[in-house]
Amino acid sequence: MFENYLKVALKVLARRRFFTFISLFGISFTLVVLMVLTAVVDHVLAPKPPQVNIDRTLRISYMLESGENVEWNGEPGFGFLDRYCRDLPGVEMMSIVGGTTSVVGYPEGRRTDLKLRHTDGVYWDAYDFRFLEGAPYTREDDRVGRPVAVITEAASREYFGESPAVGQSIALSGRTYEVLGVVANVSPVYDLAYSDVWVPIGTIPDPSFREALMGSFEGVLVAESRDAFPAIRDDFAARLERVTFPPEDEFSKLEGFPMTPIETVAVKFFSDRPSRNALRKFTGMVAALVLAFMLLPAINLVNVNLSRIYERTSEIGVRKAFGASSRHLIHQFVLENVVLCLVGGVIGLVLSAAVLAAVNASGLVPYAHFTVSLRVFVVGIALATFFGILSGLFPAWRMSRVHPVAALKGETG
Amino acid sequence: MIRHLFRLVWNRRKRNGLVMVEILVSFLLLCGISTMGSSFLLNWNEPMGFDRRDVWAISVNSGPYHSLNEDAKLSVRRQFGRIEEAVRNRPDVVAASMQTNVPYTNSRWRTTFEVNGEQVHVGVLQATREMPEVLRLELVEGEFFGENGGGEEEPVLVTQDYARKLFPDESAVGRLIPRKESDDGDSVEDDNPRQRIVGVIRPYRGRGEHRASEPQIVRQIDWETFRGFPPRDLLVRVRPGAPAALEEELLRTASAIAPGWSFTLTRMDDMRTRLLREAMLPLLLFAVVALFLILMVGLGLIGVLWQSVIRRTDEIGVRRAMGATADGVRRQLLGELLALTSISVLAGSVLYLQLPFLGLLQEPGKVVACALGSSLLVMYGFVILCGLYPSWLATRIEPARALGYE
Repeated sequence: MFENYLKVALKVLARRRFFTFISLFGISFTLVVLMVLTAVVDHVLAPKPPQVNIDRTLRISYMLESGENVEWNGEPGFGFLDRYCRDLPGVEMMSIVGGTTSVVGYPEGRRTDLKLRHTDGVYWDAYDFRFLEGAPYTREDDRVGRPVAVITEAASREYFGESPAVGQSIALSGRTYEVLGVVANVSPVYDLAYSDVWVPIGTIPDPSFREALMGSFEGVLVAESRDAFPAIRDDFAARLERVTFPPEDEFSKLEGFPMTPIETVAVKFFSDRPSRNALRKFTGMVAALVLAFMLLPAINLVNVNLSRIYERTSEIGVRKAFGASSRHLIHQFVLENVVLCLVGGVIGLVLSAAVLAAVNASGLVPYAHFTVSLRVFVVGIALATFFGILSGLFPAWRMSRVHPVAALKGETG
Repeated sequence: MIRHLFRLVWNRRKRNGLVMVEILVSFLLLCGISTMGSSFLLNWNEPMGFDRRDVWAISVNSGPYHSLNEDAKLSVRRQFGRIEEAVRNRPDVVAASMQTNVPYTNSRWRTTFEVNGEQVHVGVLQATREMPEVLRLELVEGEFFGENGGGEEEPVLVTQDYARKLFPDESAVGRLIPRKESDDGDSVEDDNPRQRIVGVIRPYRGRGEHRASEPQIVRQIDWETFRGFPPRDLLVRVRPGAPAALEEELLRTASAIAPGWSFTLTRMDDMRTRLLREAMLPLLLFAVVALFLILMVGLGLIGVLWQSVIRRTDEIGVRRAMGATADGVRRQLLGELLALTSISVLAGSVLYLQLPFLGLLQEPGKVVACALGSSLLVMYGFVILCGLYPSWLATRIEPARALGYE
């Protein structure tokens, strides 16, 4: 039965080439857009070096500090992370990471623009960087504020040319650091793992940040496993209650929670108060956008399908006259449409790989290697099937309602 | 004739319904692209209100400011003043001034004013004395503020677009800026000195060539008495052709005064390139996707029309047999298509025009009209293009064969 449906489906596709072309063009284009998006998201969230622990990572990255008449959304401060967030239960290690700032250097009078990030020593355990030369700085280096730096391969080449960088000093925006290590280049899509230069937090001269509850740092919590997440969040909430505010401060309350990386994206996107609902709202919005994007291709495919069906009325008449039920016919035509969409999906996969290769080669996103992974493939096939059912149901239903006598005569409703 | 065409479309409404929805959605998509396009093109050639050439921006990172006590804040601000003075005294530097609302950045100080019942977002550009010289602002009338008088009233500059909003019919120079009124009619913020307009400058388009101007009020900074968040950027006008070595020298000068702070220097030309690239990329991606979608709709339309010509062979055959010319048949088919498109496009236009009325689209009427006009033109042209081949097919139908068609 199924085999017969498949045979008929392929026959029909081969019969009117122009219509098949139109359908496949629309389907594969739609799937290319969706699969390229999936590939980018997959690339950003996949546990690959340097973010090997991303699956079991929670981030304290967005807090709300409020008082009677004031509210401040933003990253937590070093003081809060250092004093209140250490040794949460189920946390294997915690790293405190600063944001990136732009710095300039002038090696031999040439201007060099780089991004610099302040981190603690734990950072190098929380993330797994590939060291090409030397080694990272240690917790002790951070504690004493030793002026040392880890730089990327690209930064090393730009600043020191071909000569080895380890042991040399690098002057950036008026401060000088000794280079301890060189790591492989990191793509900006890796968020907290991205920078050109890393230096210890201890090298920041002005100590006022050490007390701040709010500021420009983030806490990265690597949990023992994902199962520990609820306990970490509970304990964190209890600790928020104990936060003391400076007496002259206008603020009196701190809110927030440790978030998974995807939750961080959602919360920062709305840049509203840190809410547990942000992720649900965000996925709802993305799903709505994807559906809206699929709307036009779906209507187009329905239209083309309806046109095709009119030329098959006699076939329908015969099948109905010989006792096929409406349900049978609907099954058959939805299946045909799904087959068509899967063919489009395969074409879309090939095209997506080409588009991603072009993006990689263009340097639009530096050092990114977007690929069609197995996960993207699965999502692509699932989307194709969903799209096939979505755009196949209505024409199939219209067709199943054709009266057999009228159909045999070649009339349609 | 036209009524007849619409009746034909109406009679086949069940079959045409989805095609009309499809045209409607593509039309809205076209409106989206052309709104962005029109807004870009119409803004692009307007004057900027400042001169970006030979301006360098030094961003000053002095650490957290708001958590400091009043004495520490004052010493930070005095440090800003000293850095300004030192940079200003370097050779090849024409003028230097710290300011907020730096051109080609996305950070903005804004406040909202209600002018004659309309909410107006006004940028608050706070700057020190030499700022008009750094950005080469052009005066329309009045004068720049010279030395700060320190009197009861605060002298301010406003941009021409803001001045027109405040005082539509008369000169704004010498007038006081109306105070915000609270709900019970009393004016609020009584402890602030009143602001008197001493000069009107050209509209300021700091958000970039692709964006419209935003009204600005320019306040002069006195570091001793300044309140609120101070600006973090020092803008420097250098002599044309100043050497790259000057960049390093300026940074060294600043670092010598505040060794603990970090400084970054960017040329305004580079800031502009970066901002425009960031603004263009998502729009370009959207436009490419939208154009592919519309191309897809076009192909689909050709298919549907083709099929409908084949289905209507007998009807067309009868018309030909009764003496209709090939041209007449073609005109009928294209006419039906246009009638169908008109219904969709009309609904689409009504929907699109809701956006500015509901305040969801804050573009001037010129942009909306331009976008709607070009979308209509493109949509009709595109639909006719799609209808050409199927209607040509229809003219090839021979009456004798058509009448025998089963």
